[in-house]
Amino acid sequence: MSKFDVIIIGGGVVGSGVLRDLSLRGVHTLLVDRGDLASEATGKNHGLLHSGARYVVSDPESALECAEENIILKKIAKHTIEDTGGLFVATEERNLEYLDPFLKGCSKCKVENKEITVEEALEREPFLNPNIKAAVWVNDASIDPFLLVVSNVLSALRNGAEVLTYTSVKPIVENGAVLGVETFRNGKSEKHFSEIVVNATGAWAGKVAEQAGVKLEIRPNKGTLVVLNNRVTNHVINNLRPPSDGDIIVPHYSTMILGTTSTYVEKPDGILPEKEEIKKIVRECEKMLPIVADSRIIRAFCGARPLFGKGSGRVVTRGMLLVDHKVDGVEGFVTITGGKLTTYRLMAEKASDLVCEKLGVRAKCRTAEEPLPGSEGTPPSAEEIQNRFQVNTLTSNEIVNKYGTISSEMPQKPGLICECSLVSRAEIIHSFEKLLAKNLRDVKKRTRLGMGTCQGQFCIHRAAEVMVEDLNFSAKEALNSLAEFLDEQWKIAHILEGDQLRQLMFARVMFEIVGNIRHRSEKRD
Amino acid sequence: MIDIDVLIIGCGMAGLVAARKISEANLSTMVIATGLGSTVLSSGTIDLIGYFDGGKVRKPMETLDEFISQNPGHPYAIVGRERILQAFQEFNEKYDSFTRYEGNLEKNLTLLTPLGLFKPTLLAQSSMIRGTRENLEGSKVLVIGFRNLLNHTPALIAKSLKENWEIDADYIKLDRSETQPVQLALLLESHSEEIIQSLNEHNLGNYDYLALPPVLGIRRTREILSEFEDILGAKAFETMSFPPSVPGLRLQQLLEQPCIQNGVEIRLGWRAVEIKTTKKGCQTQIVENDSKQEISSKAVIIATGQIMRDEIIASEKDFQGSINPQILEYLKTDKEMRLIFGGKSFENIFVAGSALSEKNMTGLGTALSTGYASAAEVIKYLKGN
Repeated sequence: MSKFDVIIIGGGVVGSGVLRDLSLRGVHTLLVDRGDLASEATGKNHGLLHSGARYVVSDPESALECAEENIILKKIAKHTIEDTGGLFVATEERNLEYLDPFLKGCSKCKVENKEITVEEALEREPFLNPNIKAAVWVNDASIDPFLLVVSNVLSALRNGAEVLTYTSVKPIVENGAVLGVETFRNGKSEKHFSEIVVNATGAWAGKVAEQAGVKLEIRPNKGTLVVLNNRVTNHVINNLRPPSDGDIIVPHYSTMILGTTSTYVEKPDGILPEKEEIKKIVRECEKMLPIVADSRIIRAFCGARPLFGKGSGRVVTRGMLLVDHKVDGVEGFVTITGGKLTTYRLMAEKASDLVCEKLGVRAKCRTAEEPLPGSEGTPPSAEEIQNRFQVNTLTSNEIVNKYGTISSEMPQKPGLICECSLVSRAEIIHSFEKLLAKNLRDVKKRTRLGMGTCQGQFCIHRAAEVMVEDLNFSAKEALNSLAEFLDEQWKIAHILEGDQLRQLMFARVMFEIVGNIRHRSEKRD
Repeated sequence: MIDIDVLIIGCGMAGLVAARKISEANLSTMVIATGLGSTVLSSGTIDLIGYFDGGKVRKPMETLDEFISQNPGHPYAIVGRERILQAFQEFNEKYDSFTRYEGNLEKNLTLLTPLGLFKPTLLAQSSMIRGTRENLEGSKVLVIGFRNLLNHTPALIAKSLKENWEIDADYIKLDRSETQPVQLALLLESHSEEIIQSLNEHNLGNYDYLALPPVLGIRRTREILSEFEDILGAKAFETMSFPPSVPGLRLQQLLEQPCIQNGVEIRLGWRAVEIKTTKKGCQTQIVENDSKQEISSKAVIIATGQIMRDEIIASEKDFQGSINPQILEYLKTDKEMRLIFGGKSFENIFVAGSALSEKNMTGLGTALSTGYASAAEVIKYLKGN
């Protein structure tokens, strides 16, 4: 049994944002997630830091929030952001009708924008469709949602917070009040008590609310995304038209992410991308960037947006939902859901304000000014990292870009492990030791291990060696971790084609036929 | 125009086993391939049946009949027990050069994999044959690695041996800068002594077995193995290999060598794009970048594999169709290894190798059996019994 001021259920970007916000205000907080941090919608989107432009016509309130948060996050979380800028391009004559309301909306919602000529757009992005009719520059950027969450959690941990991942949770409800949570981990259950429990479980918020005796209607909305192995744009590319499927391309490290779709689903669990969705996204995105049609799809994934209220997935506001369930007759229980990756900090601020008001804590929110770990001060130089980790220049630059000042905290262990995504041994060890990774899938999120063209075929074997040699894992744990990593890749075999399918089958032969991974539990007979 | 008896498309195990056998029957033979396929990436072992019905197979030849009756569409069922046995026996006898495969055809070996697990397999390169579970159990094992060698994980292997089989295993990583297996193999081929001597710098205890990465040269493997044994006074073996694979390279050369000696031309970089066939023979269009050629042959064997294969268009009089449309689709043959496609049987197009495999993949066993069987059928077709 243990006692906290606040317990947060859900380790996505909102939960970790609330965790940081409350910890900075001196509130003793525990965060619990049934899986790893950032394992659902937070990590399963296009990783776009919205300028707000996408919503200026359909949802000006959201657009304004995005515009403000964009500027804040570029200051406090700069190591997680690549400030790419974005282009909205009109691919068809009839979409020019949208240009005027779009530009007006941008100005109204304080979205920085500039209409540029088609020639200039093509000069900036030579792979753009030369037949585009108009182009507007906005201040979109790409953001690494995994590192964003991890940095929030790191900040909270430094301020006395506690975190339990891979721990299932059930609210403890007595006489119309939520008193805390019961956690379940490795077959053991434990009770944790708190003044307030915050439900930050995204598309699962309705389910958790139900466990606390509250009815809350959340409509999980599936969005599918496609990852290509070639990055041929430095800007985020958006289709200049009302929000619709397949209207965005976001450059991420050495890849491009194409998105997205929007379909309501019964349950947020177990959703997988479908071939039809992928075809549609590619068909739409090639209108902006024709090379997309001939590019290699290395992965596809989908997440469940937590939408609420009525209407179709596109028109309903993505604005946040914050509920003190006192209104439903339940004390000590608050839900924060909805929203967007870009507005997570604002959502966390609002939720934390409510929680502090209920607790009688007067401390003010500091998250809009205080930089996250990684963005504090000056990061080490790439040369310094190169010497310490004995990696090539590309890798050392990548490390500094990815982790900012966090990179000086990494252990001095030399060597490169993942050649596609340039991940060093030091990063893998650091993920396990300091960033709460429990297995290789968690390491993938924190480092990008296995996110490149070979999708982990060669590096996860090496990473398993690191687990055993540098981190004292058992061989069984390392092999289980490796097998889980492969299983996750193979879940999307049905959408792969051509060379990527060959790659997957090659990996399968390697680990199953040669390595005999499927029979890893075989003992003496 | 090139005029030959038999054109073989694909230069992996299936194509090259067939090429040797056909060329030995004094039929002029040519092999074309877009590139080296999957055989060169293989582990150094050849499986027949490792697992069946959820259990590990000890005597695969005994299990074969049941396997065939439960998997009537599997290439093993088409080839048949007798020919499979012949294929393995002939391989064991005839392919004996700088390396050879060993193993008792009656009983599976249980060999150490790159993950530190054991797996059942039928034949293994002679340098690997000692790494069996029977040998290692109750022994003291040293897993030797090289600091920067990629895709070799001595700590994982040693820990797995200890944890899973209570085998007393340690590991050591020699300080070398080489990262690629082939790079190390070439170095060991010419400078093995220098590297082996460096083991003396370490104060190593007494071991019964040395588990080495599969990088002990390409042609001098036996000598290098005994050099390791001499200096450490222990029996040595190579573990199975992940790609990029030195044992795979040895196998590729072992398969190519007799073909070349028999005058078989092996052309790499050429893609077969179209086969036109009549009762008289086949006209195959091959292309390399902008060059085009036509090969006229009496028969064609398609041995284009599974993972690396490309599309070929085949047509026979009124039939026109594209074969191998999808990587995940498998080709079918009749009992004489003749291609059946679009409901038709092609009289002079034969198929071999993993292009035929059903879902259950076998490590080279299918390639060996069907390569052998298709060659036998082609010879029967062209020369009679």
